[in-house]
Amino acid sequence: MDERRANVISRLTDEYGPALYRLCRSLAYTREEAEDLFQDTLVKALERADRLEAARQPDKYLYAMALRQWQSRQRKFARRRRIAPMGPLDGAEPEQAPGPEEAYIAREELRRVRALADALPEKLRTITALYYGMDMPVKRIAALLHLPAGTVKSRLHRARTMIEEGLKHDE
Amino acid sequence: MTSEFDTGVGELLRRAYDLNAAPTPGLMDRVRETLAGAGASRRRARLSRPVAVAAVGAALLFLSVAAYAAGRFLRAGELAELMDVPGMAELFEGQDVIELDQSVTVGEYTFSLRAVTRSEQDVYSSSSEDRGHFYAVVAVTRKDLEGLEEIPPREYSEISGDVTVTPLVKGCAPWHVNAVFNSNVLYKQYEGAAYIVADCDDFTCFADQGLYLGVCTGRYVSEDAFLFDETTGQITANPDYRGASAVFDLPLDPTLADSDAAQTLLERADSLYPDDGVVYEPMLDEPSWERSQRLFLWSMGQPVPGTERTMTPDENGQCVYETVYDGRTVSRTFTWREEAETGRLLILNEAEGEWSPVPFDDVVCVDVDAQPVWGIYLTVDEDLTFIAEIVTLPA
Repeated sequence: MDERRANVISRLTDEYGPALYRLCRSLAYTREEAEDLFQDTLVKALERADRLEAARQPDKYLYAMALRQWQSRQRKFARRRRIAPMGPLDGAEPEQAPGPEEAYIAREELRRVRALADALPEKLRTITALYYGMDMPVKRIAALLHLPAGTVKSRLHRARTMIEEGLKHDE
Repeated sequence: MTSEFDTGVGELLRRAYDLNAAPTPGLMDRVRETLAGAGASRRRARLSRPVAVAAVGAALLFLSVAAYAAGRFLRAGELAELMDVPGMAELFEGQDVIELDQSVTVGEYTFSLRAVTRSEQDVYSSSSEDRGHFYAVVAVTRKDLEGLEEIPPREYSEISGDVTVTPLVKGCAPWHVNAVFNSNVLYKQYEGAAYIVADCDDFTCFADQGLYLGVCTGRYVSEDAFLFDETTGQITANPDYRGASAVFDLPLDPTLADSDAAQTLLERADSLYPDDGVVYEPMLDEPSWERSQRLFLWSMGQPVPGTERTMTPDENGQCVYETVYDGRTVSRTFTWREEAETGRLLILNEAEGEWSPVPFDDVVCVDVDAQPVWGIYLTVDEDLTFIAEIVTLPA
């Protein structure tokens, strides 16, 4: 029985692992935190293997589990503010890099934008990560978070405004 | 079709997130191993971290320093009582606490290091895997707010949201190693000062190199806040930083050093942030709800005169807000409760069916593009009086 459940999760991990990891990497501040979240989500998934196997959209189920894990961590000590490290952008690259100096400036700009996105309040940050980090359409985010699509849009708008303000503040 | 979210900053955001991030083969192997193990036995799977961080078990031995706690600041133990975090008061009343009185004034700001301590168990966590934790108390005052009993909300929000505390190690570039210390801060305002309880993983394994506590203003700290001398390894505040920054020497006993643990941390930093010649922003802050709400609603929005209501909840924890604005009657029932774990006040967001912390915003009117136009902004004061008003949001 347990072996069957483990096989279910192994299969799902093979199929949806990369996308689940991308979600974790978009939500978490560091790569290490993302790996922890990824692992914890799959351990939790093992407990729910039967439901996952029966789910029509197991990827959505896994994403929801990862989101709950992340939100639970964030809520525990909500008044405590994480000083998140500003790490490398992994594979993210500027679109055009005409020269080394321009490439450096472009990378710095992306880093700053990601820093500001990570500094958003959690409700805005999650939606920003799903929309921009997971390339998830508004309707799907709304379904995943049980929010009206209008709320998702208004939060995206608010997030973008705050990031724009942050960039002006840094200039 | 390209939406408004995909242009301008939206375009940058698309590139700032890594759409190609993928789990490493090592991570996938560990997951598969664990799942297979869990299948073979009935016990709940527990995955291990790729790199273990050695615990620092040495007894706390601080060097003797002058400790002249100025009367105008709270003692660390008193502050810990106000923080209302289980175990924190005991921690800051313990024998390992060193009370300090080191102050630096930079421009309008005075940063004052009040106390440091460490413990085997993190007060924020019940995990059995804790590996020692370090705590520091810093008080921040601003010249123009001195003498005030209460810092006005906007100013307090600016101070608490814009001051960051970080551990620093002599000889290590801040942006290279800071990521591995898991730093956090918790704020409290009391009689004209903003207090910060900073915590991080115990980094006294570097005690023989020299330890610092860096404090700086700014939404997040850039490499401009501190200067790192690659020759001597010293870290100092950058006098040309556009905000204010200070570096405190931590008077810790060098015999606390643990070279093996330090080496493990450095290897971890190398793996996370390879020294590839690119200077990374060392850290960034995450504004609290209070700050972000105020940042958006108060700095950018406009309160509507005459719509402010002061309300006292009934025995069911409910209060009703009513006003007339934009030709319509606005009525909302707010239900509040206290979160058991954190003591935060939460408001039931009926539209979303979830509890949200105060200050609380409720968008009432959106435009044809679903952008918020105006809404109700709710705050609460310390004697549980709720204050709500209409705020118009910028276009």
